[in-house]
Amino acid sequence: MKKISTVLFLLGLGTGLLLTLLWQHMPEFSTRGLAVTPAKVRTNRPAARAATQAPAAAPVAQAAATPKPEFPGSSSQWTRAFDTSWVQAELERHEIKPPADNKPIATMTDSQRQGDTYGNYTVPDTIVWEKETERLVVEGSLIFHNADLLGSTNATSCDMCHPDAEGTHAETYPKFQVQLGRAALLRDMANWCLENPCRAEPMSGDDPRMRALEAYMQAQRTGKTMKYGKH
Amino acid sequence: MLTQIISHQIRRATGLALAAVVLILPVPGMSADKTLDEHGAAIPEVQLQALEQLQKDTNPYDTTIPGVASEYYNALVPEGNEATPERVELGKKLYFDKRLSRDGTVACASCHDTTKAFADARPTSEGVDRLEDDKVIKQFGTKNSPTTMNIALYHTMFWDGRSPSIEHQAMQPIINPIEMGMPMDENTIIAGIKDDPVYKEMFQKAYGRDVNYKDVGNALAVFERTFVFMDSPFFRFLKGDDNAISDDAKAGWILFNREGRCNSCHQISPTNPLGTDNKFHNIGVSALHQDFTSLAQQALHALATDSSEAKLDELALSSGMGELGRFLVTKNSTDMGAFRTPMILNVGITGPYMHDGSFNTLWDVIDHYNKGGEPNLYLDGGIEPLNLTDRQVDQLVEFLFSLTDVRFADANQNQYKLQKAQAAQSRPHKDDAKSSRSVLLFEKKGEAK
Amino acid sequence: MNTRYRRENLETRVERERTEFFRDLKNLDRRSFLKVAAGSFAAAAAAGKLGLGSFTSVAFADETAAKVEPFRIAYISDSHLYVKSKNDRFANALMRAVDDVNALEEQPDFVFYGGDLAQLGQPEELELGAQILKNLKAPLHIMVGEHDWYFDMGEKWQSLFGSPCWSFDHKGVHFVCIMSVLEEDFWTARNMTPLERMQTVAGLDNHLQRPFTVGEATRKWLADDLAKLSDEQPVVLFSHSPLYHLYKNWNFWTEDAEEVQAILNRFKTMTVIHGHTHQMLTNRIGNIDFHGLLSTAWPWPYAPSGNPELTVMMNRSDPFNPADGCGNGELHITADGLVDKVYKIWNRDPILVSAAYLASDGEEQRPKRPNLPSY
Repeated sequence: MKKISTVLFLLGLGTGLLLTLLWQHMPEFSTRGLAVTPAKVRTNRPAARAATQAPAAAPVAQAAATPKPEFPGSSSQWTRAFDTSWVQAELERHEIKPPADNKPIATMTDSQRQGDTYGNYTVPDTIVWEKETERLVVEGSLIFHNADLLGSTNATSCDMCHPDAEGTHAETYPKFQVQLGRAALLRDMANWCLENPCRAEPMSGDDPRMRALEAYMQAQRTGKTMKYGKH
Repeated sequence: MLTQIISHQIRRATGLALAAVVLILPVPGMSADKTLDEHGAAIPEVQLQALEQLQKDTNPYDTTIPGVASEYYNALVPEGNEATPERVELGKKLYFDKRLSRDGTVACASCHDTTKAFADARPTSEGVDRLEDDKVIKQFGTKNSPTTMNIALYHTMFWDGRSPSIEHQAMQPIINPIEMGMPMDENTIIAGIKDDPVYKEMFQKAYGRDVNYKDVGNALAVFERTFVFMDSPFFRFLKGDDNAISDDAKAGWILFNREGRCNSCHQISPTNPLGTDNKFHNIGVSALHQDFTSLAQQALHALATDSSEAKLDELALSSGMGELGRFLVTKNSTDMGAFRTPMILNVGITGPYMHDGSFNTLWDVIDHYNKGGEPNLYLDGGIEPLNLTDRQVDQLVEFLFSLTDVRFADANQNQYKLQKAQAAQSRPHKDDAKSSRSVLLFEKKGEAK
Repeated sequence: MNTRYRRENLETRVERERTEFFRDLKNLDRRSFLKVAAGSFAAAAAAGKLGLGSFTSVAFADETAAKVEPFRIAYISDSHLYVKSKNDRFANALMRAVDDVNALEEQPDFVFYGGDLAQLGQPEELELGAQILKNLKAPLHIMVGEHDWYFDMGEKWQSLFGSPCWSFDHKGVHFVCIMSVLEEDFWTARNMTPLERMQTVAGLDNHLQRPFTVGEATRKWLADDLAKLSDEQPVVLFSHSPLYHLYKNWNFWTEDAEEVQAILNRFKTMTVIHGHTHQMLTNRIGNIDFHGLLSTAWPWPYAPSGNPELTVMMNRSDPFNPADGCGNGELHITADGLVDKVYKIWNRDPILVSAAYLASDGEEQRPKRPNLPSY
């Protein structure tokens, strides 16, 4: 028992340090012209970038200026691993499209397996996939519908213009986004919306919240035809 | 009415005085008197010299713009008027030729002066004089002269976009009663040049035709397309030179794309490097100096009636009509008071700013946006208070000054100093209550907590 | 793009048109002015274009056949106010709408407010709204929406504005307003606080809330109110929920719609004006015309399914302009007592959805198709 917790502790420490190292060198935007390292640029808004959530024992390199609201999932999935009630609660509140059913490709059980370790999957495997994917998407839904988690300073959340992510058109990216004046990805437009209608700080692509939001938006547009560039 | 006209004159005179103080770009080694003509423009010899100086390291016949997709560029050039050296030479001769004006005193170069960033550094432009009862009256237009630099990529010309091409636009000032004053008659227009043997030969070489009015426009357009001035420190920064612009300018670029909300109308991309969406927006400048709403309602009133039964009412409205902008072209009420988003390249040296030249410094411009423009019934909803701090405004202005072509570095630096000094003295458009959103744009005094 | 050289070039044509453009109308008396204006109004309406903020004349029918003397009502709706310090945009937008209505050259007979004045039903939000609406020059009649109600079950709203159900007659038309956002209790079993209850209802796509209903009590009130009227009487009914079934997930829905429609169906001239949907919406069921109202705060996307066939969707909105897809508008009561609905979307051409369009089942006077369709 002690060995496992030590391993987990070291793992968490390593991850925390690695992430904070990465964080300091992350460029702000994807195009060359906007790649200015945060250290050189000062904007008026308080630095709302909190440290990634490492287990309590790990040192935190960059303290948050304002405490970020807690939310489930993200890299703190380990700390909330055994409490999934929030998933159920969120599923009750909002209709979330389910991930694809992969059971048809589950050809055998683990006890039946002979060789072909990488060549086939089982039903329990597909359930793990479904649950983990669902958790990420549901986390996205939670953030999508919550102005505080988004960091909005004018009480605006995404669902106020995009109920059930309607109109987010995840299937049309990348495209020239008129509001940005350049070709953009879904996350770039999400960031534009965060800054403009929601008056929140933009999120980096690695921000667990952005990952979850993208997951949710893409999930809700499942079944639509991919047509990148479509305006 | 009269007070409006008078205050308009006073404002223009003040603007001119201020402009004269703030915006004169000295030509090194020359005294101001000998080099300016009776309308205040640099004489052709001086302008030609300046142009030669500017184009000394580039091919003066080259109209291409590096980096811009040729498909995009060619879509904006009318068929049959592709650039050739002969056409450039013809256009050049015409650009400086005052014989195209009624009294032989005004040429294109008068308001698009190569020594003044290809504009005229005035709020609005001076045209030919008018005679009234033996008195000589100076005439001024109502619009700020846009620069002729980099206009090959504009989708329309004029502040209200009524010309679809440079070819068409170049013909208009010639017959504008205030600008060059020629009557609407081809023979009179080309009377001054058609017997000139040099011109005859040049027209034949360029277009295979006799001297004619339409080709005047065509040649001018080709010549103006050679005014490519996009080599700015900012673009050098984008291409990889981290030291090309200051940290504040870099911060300004970030603000431009984020809190400033500038990039949505002033779009910049490699394909479209001008910094404009080529659309028309009412940002409230028209509402600053007159009762714009009444003017607009009178216009709509007139639209609803049957025009053939009605009486004229020139005096009341002729001086204010231009403020209605794009509406006068489309008659669409949503274009009321809307003007074309101008390019931001070289903006540091092409002041004064806005369609009526009523903004003297770039600080004024940003202050106007920061407070959310001026409320009026037709305000573009995309304009809203930005809540930028003083420092952020400074950074944005610094960024804007980094957009000037390096060949104008001295003039740009000069302008920066002058504008900064003026901004330090007064910021007439600054409104902290509005920018910080503690008073809302459409709020009546003390209306809401 | 060939440059055309015409006898009169654009420059002088614009100059000439400028000077010819503005007319002095002193010589026209009011009646002939109206006639002239009506002719051009009809032409403008046929083209789907109307002057924004200008004098718009009323549609003239042959006077002898008129049931009603035509008149105009302005509307503002769905402002979803927060206090100014929390969100300035929504307050500013309502102030702008009030300016728009006050700037109308000929003031409407009254102004109708379509519900959802507050966002979270907070007393401060409702007071802010009441304060802003006080600036209206014309008299105000106001309807309740779910965002006004579910924080304190309508206590503050009623103290400010009175009963949510009211009716009156005006120039031959019977106006009646009902509370149509009643939901079955979902909050007690879950031990929700008032704020949690309100936030649940405030989420358009939140499934914890129940479908809107008019409810038995209000249906009875409505039936009683309309009981004495003849079938020929023109009626305009104001309701926040649409009174038909459009999309249940977003409560674009009234559960007991059929029962309500049964009460309304006997009237030959019946129009329902509803809020909640924040978009151009047009429907006709039996004798009943249905028109949606614009919001001042934000536009909703069109539902993935269930949109009425008669609805010509409004142009896709651009989020750079927070006012795009938003606005206010007018109800023009025609000589027949029907409603010509005017949507005045900010920074866009006004759009007319006329009673004739509905009566002809979409054949005549089609509103202009959007340039950028929703997808």
